[in-house]
Order: sequence, then structure tokens, then C-alpha cells
Amino acid sequence: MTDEQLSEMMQRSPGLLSCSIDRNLEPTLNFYIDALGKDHALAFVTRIPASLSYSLEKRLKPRLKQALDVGMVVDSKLVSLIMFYTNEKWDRKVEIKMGKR
Amino acid sequence: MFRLVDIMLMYALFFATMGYAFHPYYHHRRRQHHSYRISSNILDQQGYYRRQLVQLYINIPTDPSIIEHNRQYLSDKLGFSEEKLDKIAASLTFNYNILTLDIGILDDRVNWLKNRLGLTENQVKKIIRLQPDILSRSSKSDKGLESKIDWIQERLVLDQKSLAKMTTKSPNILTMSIRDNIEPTLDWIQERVMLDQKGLSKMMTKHPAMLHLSIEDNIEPTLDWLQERLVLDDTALSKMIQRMPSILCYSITDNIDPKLDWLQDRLKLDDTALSKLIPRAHTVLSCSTDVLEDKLKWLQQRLFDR
Repeated sequence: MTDEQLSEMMQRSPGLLSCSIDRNLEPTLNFYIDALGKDHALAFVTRIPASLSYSLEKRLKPRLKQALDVGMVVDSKLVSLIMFYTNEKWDRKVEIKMGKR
Repeated sequence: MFRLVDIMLMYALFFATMGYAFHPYYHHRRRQHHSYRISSNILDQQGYYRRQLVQLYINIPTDPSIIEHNRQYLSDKLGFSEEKLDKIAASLTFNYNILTLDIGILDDRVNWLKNRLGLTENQVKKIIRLQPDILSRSSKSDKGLESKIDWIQERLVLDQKSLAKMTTKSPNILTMSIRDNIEPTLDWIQERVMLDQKGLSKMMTKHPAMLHLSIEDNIEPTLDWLQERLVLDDTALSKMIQRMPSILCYSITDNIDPKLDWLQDRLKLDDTALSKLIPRAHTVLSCSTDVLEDKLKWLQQRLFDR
């Protein structure tokens, strides 16, 4: 990563500077690697740096578990919905998927 | 005929009355502090008032058993270390401090404070260990704790939980003057940072230590400097301060200015980019540049060195 890329990333998601490596950044990156595989995860995080600042325990993990439970296909598109959707929208998506089963 | 000793005592009484009666500690001590009685026959014969005034005027030590009892109480009940107790014992003002209070007063005051502020056992221990001087104040006197706590709670519209949180974070506020410090500081901050009642309460609960800062020497110059350096309008400044009130406690020359220069250089930011970045990542000001560098290196290595 060049200094320019790093600068651009920080300007897009300055909140990353407030995250702890051990408590936030490392475990969250590992979550994406487990979910998407290393290459897809790194491409995803580089494209959306703010993805590293979402709460692992409150949002990412429980939603991924729900997604797997109802048989959703885990890819970059789904992971971005896991991140961005409000609780209301996410619950509706899960309910629709459950209804289809 | 007056005996020589009577003349001397009259002099002592005169100076004691003139000098001590107007001293702020006088009324306080008269009510609540035990002075070791002089066992002199002469004094015993001259009556209670003469003895009391002379005792107050001349530095007479408190009965050592009272001091020992209070030391034991502070150690057993509140976890004071011997070192801390020695320090308190060494800091007598007119032979007065919390160790010279009559037996039982400390316990009454600790219980009162705990109930009034809704504190847990650990919170009350923490507050008193940080600010033992709180126990030197009667809750009932005119400038006592009760009226002070009532005022703070009413001015900031605090529920019991917020009051406990605020005083535990910064027990020193209980020793500050409402009229000289707390009230003018709150009024000034509310006006300058454009806070409504709720915003002010939230900020003070989050960072009550701000009340210790001087408006002229700290708060005002820091706000002005931040506003100019980061090109913030009043609204943006208000938002930033509400999110991170602790920024007002940082030194501009030792902390904020060099850190902003470092960030600007490290991330190749112009002034506009820096002024956009900081309000969104104000917590960087509480990190050392070493910690920030570690984070940047981690991101570079983990995301790009595949």
C-alpha cells in the first residue's frame, strides 16, 4: 500500500484511527477472511475501509449466523448488507428468506 | 486585685476573640473538633469559656486517641494506606483536619455522602480516597455539601445515577465554590459551545474535570485555537467538543499542535483535508503518535502486503 492509498483510506474512514488493533481491527479483519476467504476479504475491506469499524459482537457475528441459519449465500454482497442494513431491514430480509424455505 | 496570670489570660482572651472569632475555621472547629484540654489548674479554675478561647488561640494538639481512632476508621472502612494517612496527619491547618474530628463524625459523613449521591461501596471509597477533604465539610452548614450537591443536580438536571457517575469521576467538584467556579464556568461553556440543557448535562457527566479548568487560561484559548487551526464554524466546533470534551484538557503546545502536524505530514493532508478528518476522528488526539503509527503500519501490512 502506498502512502497515497493509505492517506485516501484514512480520509474516507478516519474512524479507523480510533480503533484498537487487538480489540477491533485484527478480529474484524479475521471475521471477513473467515466469511469470504482471504483475497475477497482484503479486496472488500480495501474497497470499504469503514467495514473494519463495525461491531463484531453486536452486528457482524449475529447477523452472519442468522444468514447461515436461513441458508443465505455468503458473498461480498451479503456481507455489505450485514454491515449496512438497519435492524428493521435486516429482520425483514431474514423473514422473507425464512418464508421462502 | 488581679494576679499576673489573670492579666496574661485577659490579653490572651482579647487576641483570641479578635483574631480567631473571625477566622473561618473558628465556628467549624468550635462545634466539631475536639481539642485536648489543658490540665492546668489555673485554666480549670477560670471557667469553660476562657479555657476554650485560649485553647483555640494557642495551638493545642488533639487527643492522640481520637486521631488514632479516625486513622483506624479510614484504613478499615475506606482502605486508606498508612502512607496516605501519614500525609493527611502531616497537613494540619490550625491543628485541624479530618483526623481531628470527634469520633463518629467521619462515619456519619461517609454514610450521608453515600446515600445522598447514591453511591456504591466502591464508589464512596474511591471518592473519599481521591478527595479526603470532602469529609471535612459538614453537610448542613451554609456552604456545606448538601446545598452544593442540590445546586449541581438542579442546574444540570441530573438523575441519581448521573450524579453518582459525575462525582465519582471528579470528586474535586464537591470542594469547589459554586459561585466562584462552577456556576460561571457552566454558564460560559453553555453559551460558547452553544449547548442546550441536555447537551450541557451530557458533557458534564462525561467529563466533569472540565470544571477545574480556567476559562481565561485554558478553555477559551483552546477553543479559539481549534476553531482557527481546523477551520471550524461554531456549529462544527460545538459538535466536536460535545463528542470529545476531554480535548479541552489537552495542552495545545505539547499535544494537539504537534500531533496535528504529525498527522498532516504522515498522511500528506492539506489544511482542508485535516480540518475534515479531525472532527470525524477526534479521538486520535488522545492517542500517542507511536500508537497511531502502529495502526497505520498494521493497515498497510495486513491489507496490502499480500
